[in-house]
Amino acid sequence: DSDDSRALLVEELTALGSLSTDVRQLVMASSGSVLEESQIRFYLKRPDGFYWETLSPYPELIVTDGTTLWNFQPDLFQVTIDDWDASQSELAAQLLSGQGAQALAEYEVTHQAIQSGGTEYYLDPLDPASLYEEVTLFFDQQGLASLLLVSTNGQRTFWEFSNREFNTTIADSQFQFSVPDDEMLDVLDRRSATQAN
Amino acid sequence: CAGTDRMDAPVNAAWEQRQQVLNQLQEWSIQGSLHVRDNQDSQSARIRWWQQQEEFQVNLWGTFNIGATEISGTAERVTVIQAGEPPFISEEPEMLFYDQLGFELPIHYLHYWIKGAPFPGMAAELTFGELNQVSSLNQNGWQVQYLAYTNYGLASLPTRIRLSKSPLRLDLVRLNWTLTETGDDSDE
Repeated sequence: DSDDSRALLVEELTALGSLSTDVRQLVMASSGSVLEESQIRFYLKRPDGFYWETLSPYPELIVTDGTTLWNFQPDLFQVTIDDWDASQSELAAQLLSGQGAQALAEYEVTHQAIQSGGTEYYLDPLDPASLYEEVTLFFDQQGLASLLLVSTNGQRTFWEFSNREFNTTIADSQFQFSVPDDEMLDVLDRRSATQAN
Repeated sequence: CAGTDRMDAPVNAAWEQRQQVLNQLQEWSIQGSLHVRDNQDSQSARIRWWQQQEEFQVNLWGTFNIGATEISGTAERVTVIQAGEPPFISEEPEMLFYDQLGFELPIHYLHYWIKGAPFPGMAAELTFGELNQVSSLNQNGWQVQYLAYTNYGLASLPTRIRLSKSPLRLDLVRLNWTLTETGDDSDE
């Protein structure tokens, strides 16, 4: 039943100690037409390391070490720095990083073996005010292969992972960002004053 | 550089001609980024605007599909569908959607401003850069600054726009236009 599926999924997610992968992201309108396809480089390190670099169609880096969140947009000469608050993080980020178990408590989970091998998990929100209609995660024999987020307004985001490396060692420095000293840069540091160094 | 005389009455024939080209441009779509800043907060989203004659659809989404918003309709009637919210329908064309989006988005006027032209039939103060391109425009309480243009053959169109209505500032950047020839049905 739902609890078994949830337990299985938590097990799969917990086994995901670290991941480095290319991501092909498709954002689709409710009609199904593709709004945007982007290429992303993604690093994940439990529990707090999250590095999401959009390579095309525009450059943007989002990275956090669990304490600070940096957003760097080189073509706009913009850097924003925020305190990182894991509870505020979006569902997909929670699922992939350390908060998978808590996040899943708000979903009914079912799963299904796929003929080509692997398992698909379906998350249906228990909370009627959820932003999502449904979330699907697909694991092939190697591990997590894709993730689909369907918003209640029908808009979808699909992530397809390739060149995946699971549970390799990734240096903590991967999840730190040092602001380039370039006077053209507009740096917006919104961290609570006590932390700003 | 070209004069930056204030233009209340259109005297400049070349601008008149360019304005006609822009107003005839009725089928287009734009992809880009929208950055919103007011004195408390700032947020950014990707934006795709699709326009065909009077019909339009604007999609907004953030990283990880946060804030997935679809605004569609015509000049008479607009529907806003946001993740986690019931659909909102308005028959008021000048709707600014503050309650839905958390910031004002003057879509009714932006339909012309985004092309680098004033909303027709309304007073506007214009200043010009080269090639009769509007460099800034004041209309209906908004200031619109055109910071970059790109030539798309049919017309040169803005690719970086700043809308301000204190304390709000909307930056439309990385704009990428796709134009469809209207009138001739040749499908390349």
